[in-house]
Amino acid sequence: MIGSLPRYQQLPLDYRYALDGAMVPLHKAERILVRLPSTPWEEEVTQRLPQAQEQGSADAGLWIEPGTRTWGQDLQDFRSWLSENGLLVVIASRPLARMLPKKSWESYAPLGIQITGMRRLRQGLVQAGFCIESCYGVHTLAAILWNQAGQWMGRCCRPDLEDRWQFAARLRYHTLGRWAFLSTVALIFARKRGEGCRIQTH
Amino acid sequence: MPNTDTLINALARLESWLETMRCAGGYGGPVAHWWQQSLLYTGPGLDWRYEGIIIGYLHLWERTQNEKWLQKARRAGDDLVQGQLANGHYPASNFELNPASGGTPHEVAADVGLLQLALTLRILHLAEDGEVYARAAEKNLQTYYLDRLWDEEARAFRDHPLVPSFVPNKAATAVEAFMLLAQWTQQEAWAERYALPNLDRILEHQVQDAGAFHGAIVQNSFGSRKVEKYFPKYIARCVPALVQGYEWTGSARYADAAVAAMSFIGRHLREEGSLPTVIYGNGRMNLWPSWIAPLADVLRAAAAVQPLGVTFPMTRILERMLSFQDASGGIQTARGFSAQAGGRPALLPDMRDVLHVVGWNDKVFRYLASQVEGPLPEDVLSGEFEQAVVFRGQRMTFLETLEEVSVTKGKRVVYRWRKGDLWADVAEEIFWLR
Repeated sequence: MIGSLPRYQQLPLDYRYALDGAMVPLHKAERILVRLPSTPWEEEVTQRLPQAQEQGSADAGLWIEPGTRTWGQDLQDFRSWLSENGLLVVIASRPLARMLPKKSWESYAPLGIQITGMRRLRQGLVQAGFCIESCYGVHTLAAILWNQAGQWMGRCCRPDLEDRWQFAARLRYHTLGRWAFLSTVALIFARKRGEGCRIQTH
Repeated sequence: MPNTDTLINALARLESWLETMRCAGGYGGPVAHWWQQSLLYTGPGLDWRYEGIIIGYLHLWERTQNEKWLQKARRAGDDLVQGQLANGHYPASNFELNPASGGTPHEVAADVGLLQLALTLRILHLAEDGEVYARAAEKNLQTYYLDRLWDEEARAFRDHPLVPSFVPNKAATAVEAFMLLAQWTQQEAWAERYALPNLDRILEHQVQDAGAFHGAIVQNSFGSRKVEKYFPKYIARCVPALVQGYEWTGSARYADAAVAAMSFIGRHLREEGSLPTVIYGNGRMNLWPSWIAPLADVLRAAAAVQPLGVTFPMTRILERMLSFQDASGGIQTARGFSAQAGGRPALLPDMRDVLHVVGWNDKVFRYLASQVEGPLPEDVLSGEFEQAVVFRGQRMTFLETLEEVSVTKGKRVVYRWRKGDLWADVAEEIFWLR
């Protein structure tokens, strides 16, 4: 049920932010094929998407943390089961996520945190017949730096600036474009097409 | 002070708007707040909005004896009872942090509403009906507040099961709930063992030194470290509980604390009826967003200290609040969200400023309902509201109708929530803001 996961068991904000951004197009789909690590993602996803399914034809797909060992087979599943023009949303940790104190991937090996992981994933998507419509960076380095600077100002007896700079960080929390790779989480919107896909430059 | 007819009409229009925000499972809508926003999840939130909604309808019923208000109070109570999870939490109880359960003070605020409803039904010799609502509240209080948040060493409620923490305004709402539980069960132990120690802990967070901050209550603490931020709106939420503590014990220190808190708020009240959002320990302030609907909690606090012989200048706040009730019937949230991170507010209001949020309007609803006598006019309808706004530096147009809230940039719809839907139907990436 939506909103059933207690706040003290939630995923970190960057992952929930990406997931909520994905919800706007996804929630309208009747059948959503989902691939995700069981913990800690399962409850966050199932509370939002009761129509999630593990196999069978689907109107849309949600792929969370493609795994180092499993991503090839998962990609084939999406290719097989997603309908033409079906939306596929991918949420993946990026290498920058390694610097976070709290890591959500203790129980699985995400492809995205490897230096070449995202490039391989994007190439794989294109080769499998998906057009990448957009690739966002969530929890950007800019936001991290603003937050850190704000915390430093708080310790330096300027709690007013600490708050303001944390709000400034939120305004920079996600980005699109060439600097998207400098973020902890990737949010990719791709669409299953036939011939003629182009790799996006960002 | 606005006259009775003005208040009655405002209340009728607000109630009409509240009805447009109902959906399957409860009252929904996006949220704008100091801490974060929830613009994408727009489904029912079983959070503190129910405190004001239930009690507001109970006030209306008490003052008019019109059965329909009691039925609406029960309908709101039914949302909570039917939505309650097996673990005692209420789903989507986290307001601006939705969708998630375990919201503080949201769940205990909902319990306040439920217990007030139960007590009212008991007075009407409908105790069995009241039992349903009281049981839900008791379950939440037991499984969350007592089993997870009660810190035996600190003799107070934490804000997080795993973090030694204390947030006075949240604890104050819990005080109110446990006082009501004591009334419902007729067992003083609930008040003595849980409510009063939390009040004492709130007193420990109040500035006692003479000077500019006398009476202020810090926002929170972690262990022994107090976070010296003072939010007038949250300080106000401590006041009714302090007054209840005085009424329970007869101890003047609770009354003195309530009066001192209101005095601190009063010293910062501005000419036009606004208050700083936060005052820091170094004397600096953040004025933005400047609350409108949320200041109804200040009005409730002012009413709470009146029996103590203290008069707080409420007129300016109330007049300002009512001046921001627009054609929809809802009261706008704030002014100045665009300057929250610094600078000055844009000439046009921010989209979040004009957003009508159920979890802020419930407080206005409750306050207005406590102030009026006599029936509300019938057949008052919520109207369309349109306003030029800015959002993240871009000029847009905000529109609310009976069916939806939408934001357009030129001819392009950049945000749309169809009332009743769990998620925004359209939300360009700038609306992902949390």
